[in-house]
Amino acid sequence: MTPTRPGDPADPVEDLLRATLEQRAQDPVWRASLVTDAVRSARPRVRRVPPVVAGLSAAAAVVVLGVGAAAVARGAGTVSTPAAPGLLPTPVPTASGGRTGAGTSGPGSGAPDVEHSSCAQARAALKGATAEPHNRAMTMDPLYTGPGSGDWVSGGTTGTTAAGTSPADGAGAATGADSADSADSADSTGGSDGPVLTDTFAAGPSPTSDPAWETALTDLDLALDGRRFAYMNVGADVIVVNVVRGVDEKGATDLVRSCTPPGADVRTQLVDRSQTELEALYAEVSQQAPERFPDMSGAWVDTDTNRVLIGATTPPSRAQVLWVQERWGGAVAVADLTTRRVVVP
Amino acid sequence: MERFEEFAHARGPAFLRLGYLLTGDRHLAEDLVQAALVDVYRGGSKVVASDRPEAYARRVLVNTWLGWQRRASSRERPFGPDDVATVASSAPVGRAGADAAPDFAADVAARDAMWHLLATLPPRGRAVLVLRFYEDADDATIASVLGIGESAVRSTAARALLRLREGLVAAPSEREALS
Repeated sequence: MTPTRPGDPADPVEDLLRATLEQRAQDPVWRASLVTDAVRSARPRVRRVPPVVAGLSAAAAVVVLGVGAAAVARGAGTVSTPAAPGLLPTPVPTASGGRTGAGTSGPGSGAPDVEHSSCAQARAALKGATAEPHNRAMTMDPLYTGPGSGDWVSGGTTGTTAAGTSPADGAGAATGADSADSADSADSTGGSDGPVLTDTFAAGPSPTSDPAWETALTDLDLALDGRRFAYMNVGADVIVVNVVRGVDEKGATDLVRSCTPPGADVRTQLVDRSQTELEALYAEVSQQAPERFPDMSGAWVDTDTNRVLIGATTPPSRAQVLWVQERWGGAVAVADLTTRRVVVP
Repeated sequence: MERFEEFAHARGPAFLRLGYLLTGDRHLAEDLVQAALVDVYRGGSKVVASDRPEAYARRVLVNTWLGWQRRASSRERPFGPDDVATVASSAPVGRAGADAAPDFAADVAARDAMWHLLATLPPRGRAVLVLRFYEDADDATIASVLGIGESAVRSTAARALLRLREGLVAAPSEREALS
């Protein structure tokens, strides 16, 4: 008997053989790039507050209890760190004092503000860099089943507002020269070649709903003067600022490093594709992929891995995966929703 | 050197998958890939700079494995015929009919049975099937990789598939399912 060739009428044994090989081939290089909300929420939160600091801030914590974590933490110059489930966040005094509070930092505040000045220097070094306009959040886990699942998650509701619209909008007045920088940067947002920082983060349940993270993100956002040099991606215990590879990577990275609010664990990573590129890619994939993936549940941008994922509700064939790779390279991958794995060719 | 590293880094995972399908053992697959990449490295820059370094590496990988199999000491039989019959009889092929509801457990069992049946095939037969059904290679390519004629590829594939069919249709239920 002559074995059939790929494309010939189906043969159950050959189909089974092909499926077996494709499935087994994924085993050795299993990649956990699809992190589910379940995994995230199961991971214990990391407390980054040293006991001494926590004790010193006890008084502030009392205030937080009474008035509300986010607003007070910002007004008193504190950054609340994530607490264990069931516990209130613990506010920590920031090194920049009241950067976000009028008259408590910067020129005239009377308080030394080393971090603030270094942040301003880094910001000045980035003058002229262009930025993308604020984008909606585009992250979505394929396995995310919370509110908004099945569609784009419009996040960015907290902590990522532009400087001018932040609740702590008084920062500009308080920081003197920095407000001028902010105005300059606002003028420079028309281009598109600079290092791009568009902030966005995964919506849904924690940690975006955690006031501590709101505060940290807002502080960082204010430090960036509302300029979008990266899009922020909130994992379980870190804020990842994705700096798009290209012009002035070092400047953008330095800026983030020097402007990171104390108490917040912010990391930077260089990525290949900007938010705009990912959006364009998403549109293209959404239009073309259904031809080859009639059972696809949808496509989404995975900011964790800086690529677009196609969600397949049945195990994708090797031919389908190869088609994706040939068409878009590593910028697009196929997520097998039945096995919760990203399928690689 | 730099180009070799780039090549090894880019294609290493793919070779690892191919090696795993051939050997059925992750650690052996890693050894195999390493041996193949060492051979590619020895080939020097001309191999990496050639149009198809991947084809060369794949050929080295498959033939290295076949070479290992020829050594009596490395011959393994993870599953004996009795084991295969047991697995096959307990693993219905989950394609009993178009009207049947998809049975995920049956699919998994059938794939598991197929995987173990593959392990019982002669090395060359397994290599031909992996190259054909995983790499989607045509007969000419397979013949080139294995250094045999195209007719030998076809006959080897036919024999290997026949063995798989016999193994899967060992029990009446499977025979019914496959029909």
